[in-house]
Amino acid sequence: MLIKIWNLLGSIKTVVPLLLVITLVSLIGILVPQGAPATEFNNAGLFASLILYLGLNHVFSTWWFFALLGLLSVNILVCSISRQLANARRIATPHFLKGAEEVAMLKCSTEFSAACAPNRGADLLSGYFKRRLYFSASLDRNSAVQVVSRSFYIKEIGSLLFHVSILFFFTGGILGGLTGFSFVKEFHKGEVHAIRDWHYRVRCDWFKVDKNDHGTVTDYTSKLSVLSSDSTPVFSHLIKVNHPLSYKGVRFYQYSYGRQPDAIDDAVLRISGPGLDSGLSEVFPFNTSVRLSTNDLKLTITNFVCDFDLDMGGEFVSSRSDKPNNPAIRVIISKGNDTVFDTWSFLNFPEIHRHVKNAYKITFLSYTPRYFTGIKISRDPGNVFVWLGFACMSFGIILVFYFPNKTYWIFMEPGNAGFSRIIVGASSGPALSAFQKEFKRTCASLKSLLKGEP
Amino acid sequence: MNHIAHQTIELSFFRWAFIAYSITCVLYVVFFGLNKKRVAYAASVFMGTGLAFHTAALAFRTMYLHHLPLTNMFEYINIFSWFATCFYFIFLKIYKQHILGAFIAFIVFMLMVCGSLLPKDAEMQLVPALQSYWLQIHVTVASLGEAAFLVAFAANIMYFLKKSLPPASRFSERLPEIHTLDIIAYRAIGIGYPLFTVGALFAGSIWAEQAWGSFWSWDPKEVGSLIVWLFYSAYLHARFVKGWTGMRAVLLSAAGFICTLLTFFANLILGGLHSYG
Repeated sequence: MLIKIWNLLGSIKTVVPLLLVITLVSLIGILVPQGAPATEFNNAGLFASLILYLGLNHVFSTWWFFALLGLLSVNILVCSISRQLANARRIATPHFLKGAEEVAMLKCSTEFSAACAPNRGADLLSGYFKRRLYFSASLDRNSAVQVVSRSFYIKEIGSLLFHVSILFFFTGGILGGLTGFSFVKEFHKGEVHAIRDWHYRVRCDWFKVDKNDHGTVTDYTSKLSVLSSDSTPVFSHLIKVNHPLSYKGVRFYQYSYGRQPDAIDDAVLRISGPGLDSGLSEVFPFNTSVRLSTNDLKLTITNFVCDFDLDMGGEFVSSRSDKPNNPAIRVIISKGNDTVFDTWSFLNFPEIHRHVKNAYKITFLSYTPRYFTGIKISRDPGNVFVWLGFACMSFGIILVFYFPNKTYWIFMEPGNAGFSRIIVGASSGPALSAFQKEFKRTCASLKSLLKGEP
Repeated sequence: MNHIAHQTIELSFFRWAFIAYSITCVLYVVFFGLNKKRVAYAASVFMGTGLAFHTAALAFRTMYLHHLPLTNMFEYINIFSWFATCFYFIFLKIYKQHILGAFIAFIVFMLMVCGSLLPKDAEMQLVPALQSYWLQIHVTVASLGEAAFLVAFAANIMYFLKKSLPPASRFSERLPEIHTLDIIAYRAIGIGYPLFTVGALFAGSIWAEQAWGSFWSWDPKEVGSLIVWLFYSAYLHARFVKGWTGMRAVLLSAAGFICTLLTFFANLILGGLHSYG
């Protein structure tokens, strides 16, 4: 019973349907939007209910998809063990052919006579092939000797490496999934984030978006500083797409960026009013008090909303969305500690502002948006297994494809006048034409070794 | 010379390559009818001419872009069909089977038709994610592998026809021996599989880890490539372990190439992280 289960698990009859099921499920995963919330499938009938019931909207994280991958890994494991056992048996048991006829029937074969007794010839051949790193065995039957010599077991090693690599990939994936973490943190300028369990913090010093003359984004860069637990900077590093920062097993990637909906870098305003030059246009930084003129007036941009909205009571300002549909700023002009003027100014509606007698007129001309930078912070202890998997599979494929097994069978039987009849046959992988040249060279060496005659 | 002038010259090279491949297809149809060796040679000459124009077009585009043209579907389809044509000449040299060109030329022609329908604008400024030497490694090696699969697919079609048609039919007689077709398909997959594994999956994963922070994201193109790889792995496994040759092996490897095409064209519908290429 156990043997039956073992054979079933390692059988190609299991792996082919399993691969087809995984393929089908993956195709569903491609076609059904992944990560879409359940609400998107409401009112979409029976098919949508089926999608939600089976978890097809997050197919690659369902338990049954993991079960399929687990079954595939068990299949590969069983297959690898069975295959390596079969290889070991084959290596331990030399494969002799039935006789001279079978050797002569091989696609590469030749025959010649040699002034050398079969037993002596067998010794010479074993020595010759040993020097070429071949493994030889001989069979003495009815005064005829058959020598079989096989090249080093490179293909078997390749096969083993290939199977082991798949297990490395699974191990890496499972280890990463169970013990790693990955999330995207939106950093604002100067913001600090503590890296849990690693006793250090990361601060985003600045972020910039580079654009070319046509306005196309050419690069985006964040400067990150690693801070110790007592906030002492340890070092700083510029990260860009394709150039992450790695520190104590945690990697920081430049992942995304966007406009901050509630802050700007600065705004250009035109201000007129009592005690000011008419039509004064200046750049004012956000949240910083700026002296307006020789008198003690100070201007501060205290708030920014990208899509202005006012509640029904006319008191509370909020943003309708994160899109810059109706940018507005709150400007406060103060003298000493007293507020002398307080208003909202709108980029799209410059004429709308508070009309108070002898008050200031503020026109919101333009602004520099403040960007946030999306930093992906991840730790994946399974990475090392994935790298090992890459290395093993690459070597395995090279060994399997480009180092074919070569086997020589040499049948020797006593002939006339002290000469022995020698039949040499060989087999190799599918590259027979390339091997034939090597076979000819080997036969020439064997003739010379055994003092053969054509 | 400005950008538009460069592109006009380069597209005219593509057009000439397209015309040469079209004539190649017509000549192969004539060859099937007349079975004249000279027609097959003429077809190969036109295919070579097409390859020369194609090479000039790609070289010109590379020169003015300052990077290999690998960043959108039009460019990929061109590099893919260029590699496939190069493989044809390599296999022609080894196996001396002109008729293989009939099927490869037709597939290349169809790919060029698809390419002609896609936007041809050259990306002078690469998006930040593509500014990496992995772009050249990943895309070039993957397309080289897929081009080898195309050759195997052409041999698969010929195998299928040879098996399906009556042995005495004129069409069947023009096709190579079953064993030769099986070996051509196997050798092509033997070249394509390591290239695809290293180029599409490994180089892609390593680059994804550097740019996006994970080796694997279950992106439609990633899943599609995995499916392609699984099909060819199953083909090779069945061949090595169970000695599969013949129609079963042909169907398995042909399914692999159909998945390759679906993975490529799925970009147009499904988007995802690979939506640009």
